[in-house]
Amino acid sequence: MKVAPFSYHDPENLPKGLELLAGLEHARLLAGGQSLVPYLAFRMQRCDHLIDLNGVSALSGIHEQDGRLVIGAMTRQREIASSPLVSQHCPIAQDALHLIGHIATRTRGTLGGSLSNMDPSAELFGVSALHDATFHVQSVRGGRDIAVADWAETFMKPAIAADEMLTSVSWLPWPKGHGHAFLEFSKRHHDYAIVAAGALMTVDADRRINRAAIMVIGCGIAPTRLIGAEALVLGQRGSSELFAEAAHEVATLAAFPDLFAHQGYPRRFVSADYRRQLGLVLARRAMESAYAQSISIQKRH
Amino acid sequence: MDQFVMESDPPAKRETIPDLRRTFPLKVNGEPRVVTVEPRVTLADVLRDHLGLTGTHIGCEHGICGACTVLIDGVATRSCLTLAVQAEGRAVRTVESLAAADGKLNALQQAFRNNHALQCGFCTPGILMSFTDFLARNPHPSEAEIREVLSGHLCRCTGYAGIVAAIKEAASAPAIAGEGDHAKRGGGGA
Repeated sequence: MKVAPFSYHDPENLPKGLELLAGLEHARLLAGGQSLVPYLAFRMQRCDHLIDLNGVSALSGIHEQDGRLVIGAMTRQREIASSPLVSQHCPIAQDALHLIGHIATRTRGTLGGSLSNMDPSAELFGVSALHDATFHVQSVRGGRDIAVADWAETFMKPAIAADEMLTSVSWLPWPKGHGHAFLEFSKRHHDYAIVAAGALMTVDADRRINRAAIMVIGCGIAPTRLIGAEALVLGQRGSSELFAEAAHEVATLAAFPDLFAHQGYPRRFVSADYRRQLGLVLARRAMESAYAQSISIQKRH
Repeated sequence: MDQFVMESDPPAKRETIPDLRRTFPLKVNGEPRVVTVEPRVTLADVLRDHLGLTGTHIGCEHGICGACTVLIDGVATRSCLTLAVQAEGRAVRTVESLAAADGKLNALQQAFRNNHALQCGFCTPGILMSFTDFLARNPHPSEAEIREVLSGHLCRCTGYAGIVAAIKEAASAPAIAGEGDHAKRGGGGA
């Protein structure tokens, strides 16, 4: 199908973009367009006004600031995938990016677009959860920061007002040499993940885990940090038994049964049990892989 | 892409349908062009229906099949997911730009011919454009890297073995490096 008519606006700077967003009714922001354009074409979504942010260069870029890695909302996925700063501080983002779409969609797709679209399978939302992200939103009324845990309001909707725009995201870097692993299962290569899991880990000289971040996506409307699992593995030496026990937390997540009962949502045919089992397995494997990596990195030092 | 129904506010009712068309310049295969279209029209439709460049194929119209891939400022992009107005002032390259004016195939096209890498040819233009970008950035890819990029394209008749062989052959030909626009310009997303 073809997109229904809309008025097109292409602001050349952020203040102009925010002004348009505040003043226009039934407006949508266009970032990379790799999800929104097909939604519009299938008429699953409609808008009267489309505000194209591709001309707002201030929204792109990656830099360090106050000990955090700050990434502009319009930064392309391909740029993040090849950024030395990301590779140094948040390498799991690059593991995840290789699972997102294809090269020709990553050249257009953006970090902010993915986070604002908030598909429950969005890998970059999962990476943001692992790196304790802060989301910076702006409107004509001013700006504010939102912690990653508070970003989701409901299914595919962030907790921001209609006149607010995500302008940048900051990730908390992990130290050089940490172990990281991002694993997902999908029906086809590069398709939407049904479930994915990620883990970050560091170990001490005695190979005991002294820091861990573990999360799953596809098990809720937003990524879920496995806080219990993180606490359980601390101070322990890694083993398949330990990680299997830690991963068991996935089975206890309350959101499971009815989450994907949303009207028409295709992944609904994946049963809660199937999803739970995938979560258990992928979380365990992600922990095993991140642990093995942190051990092998430490050997070299 | 998966389909699901989103709940959203219905758009406001309009008394009359306003003229939303915009007129803008862009460069297509090196030539300056000016088009007048509604902003809802995709770049793929403008290339085919307004500029007569039917080498760019439209398959799935939601970014999966890869047939519509073109270069915008040297970067491989799905033209079905790009609004034509977004190409204002930009340089678009389609499959028609690959062969020489006398019809002589370029190295990548010739490699496809040598390796029987196409039958019906529907998917071929998109694959050629994706690899024009990719080989310019990464002139000596491994087979795994080739297959990774090729996974962004669906071929329903030839099979992928011949395509992989063609790309390997092209990658070893000296002529292929520097084929993409961005090799000179430094690339970067639009």
